[in-house]
Amino acid sequence: MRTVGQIVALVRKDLLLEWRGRTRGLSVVLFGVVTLLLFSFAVGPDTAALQTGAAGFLVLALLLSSTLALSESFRLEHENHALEGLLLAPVEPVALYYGKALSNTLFLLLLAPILTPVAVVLYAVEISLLDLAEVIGLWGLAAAGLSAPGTLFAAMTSRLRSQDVLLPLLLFPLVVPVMLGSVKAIDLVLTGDPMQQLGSWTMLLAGFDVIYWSLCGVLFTYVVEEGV
Amino acid sequence: MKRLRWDAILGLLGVLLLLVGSYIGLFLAPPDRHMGEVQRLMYVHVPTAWISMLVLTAAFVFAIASIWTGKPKWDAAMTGATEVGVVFGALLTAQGMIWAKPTWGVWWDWDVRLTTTLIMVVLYAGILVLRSFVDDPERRATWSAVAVIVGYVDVPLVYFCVRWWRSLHQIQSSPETVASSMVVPLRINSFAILFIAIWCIAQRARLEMARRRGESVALPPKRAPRTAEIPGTPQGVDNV
Amino acid sequence: MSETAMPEGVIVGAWNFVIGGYGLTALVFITYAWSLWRRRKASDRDARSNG
Repeated sequence: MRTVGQIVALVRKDLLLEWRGRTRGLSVVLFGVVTLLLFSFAVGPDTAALQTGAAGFLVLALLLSSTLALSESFRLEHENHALEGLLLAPVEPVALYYGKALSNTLFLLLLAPILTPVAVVLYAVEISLLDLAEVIGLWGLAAAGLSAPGTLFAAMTSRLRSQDVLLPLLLFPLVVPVMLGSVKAIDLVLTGDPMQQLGSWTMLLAGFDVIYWSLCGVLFTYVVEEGV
Repeated sequence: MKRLRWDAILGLLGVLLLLVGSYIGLFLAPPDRHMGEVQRLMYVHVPTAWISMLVLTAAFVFAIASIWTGKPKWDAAMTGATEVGVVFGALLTAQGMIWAKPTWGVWWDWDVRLTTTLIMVVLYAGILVLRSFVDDPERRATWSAVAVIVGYVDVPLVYFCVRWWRSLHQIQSSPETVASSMVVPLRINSFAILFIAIWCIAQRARLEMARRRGESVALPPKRAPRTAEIPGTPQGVDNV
Repeated sequence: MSETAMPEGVIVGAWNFVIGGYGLTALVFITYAWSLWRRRKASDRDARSNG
């Protein structure tokens, strides 16, 4: 119970900080929009090609924005040694991890209501409001799958000289299952699901989330013990 | 002349076995009914695949031991196994491509095993890069061990996911389709590559231990700064 | 017989691929062993100059 209380307090702290430093969050959102725009330039003004790639572009935009958000989330903690203060408070490392991972997930989830409509307009995808809600839900699962290992690795790399290179280098190959699963699932929502496969892909994505969240939570304690 | 260590003997044995096994595979074993001479690639490709998986499993076990005990020797062993795993995995991918070209007609096909191996190689290469960026030895040991554990758990997920993604594809050949005259060179080469892998891991682990000793000499020691100046004190001895 | 059962020699230049595969394997093993040896020497040199 104490741990749950700590997690809630940490998430509230992170969200409050995010709200006070709105420009930072806004820049990540803008980055996502620019990425979506660039994909259409890369493919060319071919509506059919854009439609088929829409799900992939959307998930790639999430992936690219996530590295910015994840490394940012720990950079703040290192300034003024806030992390050491938290650990001395004493906040349990497990609570610290789940708090951080949860606030990262929430932040990435907030990108969905902005980036999905942008993608729908740019790539001329025709979907209903219910489909939109489904996409946002799947985006949430993908964000959770990204945040769990992302938070773990951001904790390690955020203090290193070349964190901007290292975090994607470690994270991107690792989250290939999440990416494949979410691209496939979102694609089924956007372009139709004649074989009724959406359910199994969603379950797969949820399964990955469970594995990552439990494994990374256990390992984070060791990372913090060495002094993040 | 230095005396021969166990791993040197093992390494030499491995090279010898590899020569024998490859000779049998190349010249004595019959060509495959379906694939003809190209099938002879199997005698290096399949053992490399088996041993790569084995080496990365060893890296996972060493990583757990390293994180559990905190002893530098496990960290060194893990480094060796990870690096050898990356080298062998890259070799495996290249061999797979060489085999894919004559049989499938393309250098690259999004085959489950080929794709998984490539992702695995990139993943573990990233861990080696991470190691090179961390200066503090203990932090480096823990962080890379954590990354190796997460990576190892991830590999089956990647495999499963790519398989689903591809959905239609050939199933891997079951043992009974392999003729008994092909089993002998396959088995010899498997042991050969296993011995070579063990030799490489041992060498890399020794190197890591030597580097770590070097670090503790070169950097000012953290805990007891004055003991290093007492004459006769063995320097850089790791008694953790 | 299925159509995958092709007579010997249908794959053009099969031996080139076989030789390529074995050659590459040998090359990688030799290069990696050499790299290990070279790094070992460099580390020994460092140890001597420091210690």
